[in-house]
Amino acid sequence: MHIYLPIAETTVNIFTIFGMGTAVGFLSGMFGVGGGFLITPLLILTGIPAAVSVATGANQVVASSVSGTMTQWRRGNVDFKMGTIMLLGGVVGAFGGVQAVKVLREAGQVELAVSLLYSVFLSSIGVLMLSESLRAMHRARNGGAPSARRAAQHHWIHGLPLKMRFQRSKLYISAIPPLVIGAAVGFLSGILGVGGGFIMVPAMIYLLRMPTKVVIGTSLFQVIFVAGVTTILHAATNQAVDLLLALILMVGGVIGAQFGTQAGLKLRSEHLRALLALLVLGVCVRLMVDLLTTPPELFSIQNVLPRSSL
Amino acid sequence: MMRRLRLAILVAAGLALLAFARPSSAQDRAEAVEADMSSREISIKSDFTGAEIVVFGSVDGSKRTDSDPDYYDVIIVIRGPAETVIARKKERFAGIWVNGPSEGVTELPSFYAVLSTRPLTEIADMETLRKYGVEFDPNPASWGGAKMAEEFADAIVRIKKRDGLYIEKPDAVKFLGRSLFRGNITLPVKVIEGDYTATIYLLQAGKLLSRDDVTLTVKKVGLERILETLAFERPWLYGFMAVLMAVACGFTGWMLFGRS
Repeated sequence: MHIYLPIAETTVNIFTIFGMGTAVGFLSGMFGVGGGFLITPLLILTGIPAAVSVATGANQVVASSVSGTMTQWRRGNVDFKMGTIMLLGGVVGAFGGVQAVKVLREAGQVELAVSLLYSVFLSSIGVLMLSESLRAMHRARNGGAPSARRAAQHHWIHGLPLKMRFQRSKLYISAIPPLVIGAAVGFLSGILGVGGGFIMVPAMIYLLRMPTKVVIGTSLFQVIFVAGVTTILHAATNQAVDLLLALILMVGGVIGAQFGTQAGLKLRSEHLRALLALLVLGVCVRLMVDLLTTPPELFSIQNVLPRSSL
Repeated sequence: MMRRLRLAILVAAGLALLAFARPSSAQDRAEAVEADMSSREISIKSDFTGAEIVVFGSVDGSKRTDSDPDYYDVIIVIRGPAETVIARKKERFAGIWVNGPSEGVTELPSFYAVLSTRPLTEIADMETLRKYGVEFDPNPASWGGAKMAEEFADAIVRIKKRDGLYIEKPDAVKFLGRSLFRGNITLPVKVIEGDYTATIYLLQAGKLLSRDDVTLTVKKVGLERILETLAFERPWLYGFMAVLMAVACGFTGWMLFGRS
């Protein structure tokens, strides 16, 4: 069954899009990421224009984050205080990111910037997570205590002012790092059209040293707002959000996310992180292949006139 | 808006009638071509996957006989609304493929189709066709008025052809008897909204005898129309709606599946 998308101005198979939404929803429920970093490249591969893929991806992330947050919140896994501080930074960062897209678009280099940024971030995060989780698995098998190293390490972060107590995260740290991390991730969200969970989750685990259990819910909670702001800004500046496309993705995504959350509970956290790392690296390799191999068509054309409103 | 459109169609129809009436009243035996399309309005709805249109017409005062079926030639040129396009070429930079040089062209037909009874070169020589205003060769360099490097012009035509937006069908027009002819064409899903003009040329032995124009309007209707209007005219509201929809969707999903 085919459906015409009014903003993307193309026809897609409803079941393909629904299936994509479900699959990505499953993964996002499992790993606590919004799934934008998967949905955007997938949409581009389906033939949806890049700008529409980015903006609609951000919209879909809002839906999957809302249902994910509700589930996590019921389990008491959302640190609202931490999330609120992060999203304050995130919203500011998102504004900056959307402005950066505007500048890049005028230079005709937005696709390149997006692909390069994705590659750099996905590869570094993927490698970092994979090696860490493999170490953790190794430790677990040898019966070592994984918390020993963490407790011993003393961060420069602990020297910063504005200290706050985050009860759910069992942390007493400065509000500055979460604020800065939020802003940096928000900036990337604006450029990449993603919630930023795939950067946020490792940043919370490795930089803030939050317990993994709380990380997913808190990340999802703040992603709702960052992706929401990104969606609105993209709609206002680029008119690139396709509501029909977003709706199909959301329905699939929300259903998939519920199963994903169940599946995530059955896995050990280091296995979960290793799987997410592999997924991140997979997307990264795919993007790099596109950047490095000779494209079948060297030319591309872009209609630059605003659409006639009849 | 609708009323003005209807009025415009009426006026156009009236003018067309006048144009048809003239040759027959002028007592000479010259043939005249009259044409129409199976549909004057294509609606883009949510089930739109492209549209098939039939252009049909007749030769008034036809001298065609069965012994000479190739007596007349018909060329149908359909042009879509003009657009401004930037073509970019990818180049390798430090091992990575990046967008390099670009060239723009204005007044480019977004859609361009040439249907004819025979290959154009057999119908008349290129000079004659060009003199009569039959543009048979989709050439962005000449359309835009600006000079464009050949590789960019070629690329635009190649990509447009790949997307089904530039079509050349040298055997698509068929005569069904003495004076009646028809040709069909598919508008791909990527057509943009606006007015599409079909010009029908009647030729005989390489000479233009008569021509006729028909206009086709492509526009979004229903939900597609509402969403597009909202997205472009109330972008902030549209954005808020998108987020609200997402929140409602996510919440409903959790209510249905996630609470257990």
